[in-house]
Amino acid sequence: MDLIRKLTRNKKAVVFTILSIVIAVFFTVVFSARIEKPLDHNTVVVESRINVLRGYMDNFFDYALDMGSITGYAALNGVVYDINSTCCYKPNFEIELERCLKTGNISVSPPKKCYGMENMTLTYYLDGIRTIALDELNIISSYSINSVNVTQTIDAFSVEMLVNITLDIRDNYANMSDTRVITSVVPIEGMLDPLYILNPLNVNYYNQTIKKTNLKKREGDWTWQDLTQLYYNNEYRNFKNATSFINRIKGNFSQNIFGIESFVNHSRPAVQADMIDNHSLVDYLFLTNTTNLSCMREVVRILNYTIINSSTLANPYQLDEYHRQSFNISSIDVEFTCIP
Amino acid sequence: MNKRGAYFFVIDALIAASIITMSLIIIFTSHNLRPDTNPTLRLVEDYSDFLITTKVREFQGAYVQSLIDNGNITDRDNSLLQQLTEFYFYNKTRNNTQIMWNFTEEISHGLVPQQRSVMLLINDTLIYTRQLTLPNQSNLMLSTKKLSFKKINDSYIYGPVVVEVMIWI
Repeated sequence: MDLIRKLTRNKKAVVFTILSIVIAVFFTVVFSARIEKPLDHNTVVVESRINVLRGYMDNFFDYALDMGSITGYAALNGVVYDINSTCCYKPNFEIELERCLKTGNISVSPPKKCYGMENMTLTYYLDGIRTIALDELNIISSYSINSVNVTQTIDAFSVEMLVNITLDIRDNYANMSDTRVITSVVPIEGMLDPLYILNPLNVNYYNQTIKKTNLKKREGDWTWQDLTQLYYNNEYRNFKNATSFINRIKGNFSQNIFGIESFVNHSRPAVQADMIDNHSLVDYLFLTNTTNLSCMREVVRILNYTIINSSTLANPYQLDEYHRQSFNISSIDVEFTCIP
Repeated sequence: MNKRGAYFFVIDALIAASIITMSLIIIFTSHNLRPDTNPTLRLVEDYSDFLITTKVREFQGAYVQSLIDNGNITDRDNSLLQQLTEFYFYNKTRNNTQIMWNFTEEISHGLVPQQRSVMLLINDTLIYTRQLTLPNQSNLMLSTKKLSFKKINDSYIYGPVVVEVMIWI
């Protein structure tokens, strides 16, 4: 009996021991689960990588935006240069501009290089950033320039180039794709004025680059001193009834709110030779040979040589009445070009 | 026999208690065996984001203000990273090494804890570093690379350059 009791007591001890071990193992297992990597243990790393990809995407479009201005200027310059070499207006210049911007060629057949676009295309620069992303950030990406449109809605001395670009990024952690329309502002200052290069008279009197005046005036505030400055410095001003830069490329001489105008230098012998009583020497009027102005009522010659000196010239400077009044030139300083 | 039985139970209880204690010690100490990378990773990301998104005009710092005053910073709408890129560009023609160092030191101050080492490179050129331990002796080092560029004028954009931020402990 003693032996049975002893064994029974020992068994209880063993049971308690085993029970304590089981409890210990249980707790160890339960709490050790926290040591194991949770399912989302890589989330932060993936998040970080996606941030890098997203950063690259933003960088790419920002770069395209800034580069759009620079390459757009070069491409626009190339198109204007082509007007010079072909003596043809560009009614659909957007197509040629897009070609210049993307490939550096202004025409496909026969292939013709766009002037000044060697290593200056948007494609060239975007390829550059794509390569750096691949080499340095290990990001594989591809892009396509879907369309290029040119418009003018902000300023007479700049055009907006709307470039539609799609960027695809392929990565082990995420694939990203985005299409954005970036609006690059392309200044036109420093470009040759297409109207001076080519005009309906088909006479190249002289070439002139576009130079924006520093005068900031509203309509009605202009004075004859301003005309003097514009004339002698070959400066341009924004004038709502003038022809815009885009229309000058297209050969469309209609009025536009973003019109620009300059004043033809009448001291040039060729200009003097072609001047008639009906001519106003505002560029888009003279160079398009607008002669429907009445010399008796609408065109005046400036006799006050302080405004524009014509003392050594056969023909004094001529302006239409509308412009005379817009510069507040006194009627005593002028006379109509022909008297009935 | 009863006395021996009591000893047995006492020893048994002690063994059980020691097993439980050991288990708990193992569990709770095991959490500290592996260093947590998340804070450092976040720090690297936050620091580089700070450089990208903060404009010079938004940053209040005596040295940055002195650079504005003496004309070394001309565009206060530059982000801090763009400003560094601009300094780096002009470093070819004028020595901006010290300016870049001090500039980065000031913008890093308070952002990267003093207990951590930091290094900033542009195109593999050392711009600034603060080292508590050597990089090759670090327990944990994390880095991030970003692209940066700067429009210098209407006809030239410098870059893109690769900006690398490294933080280690």
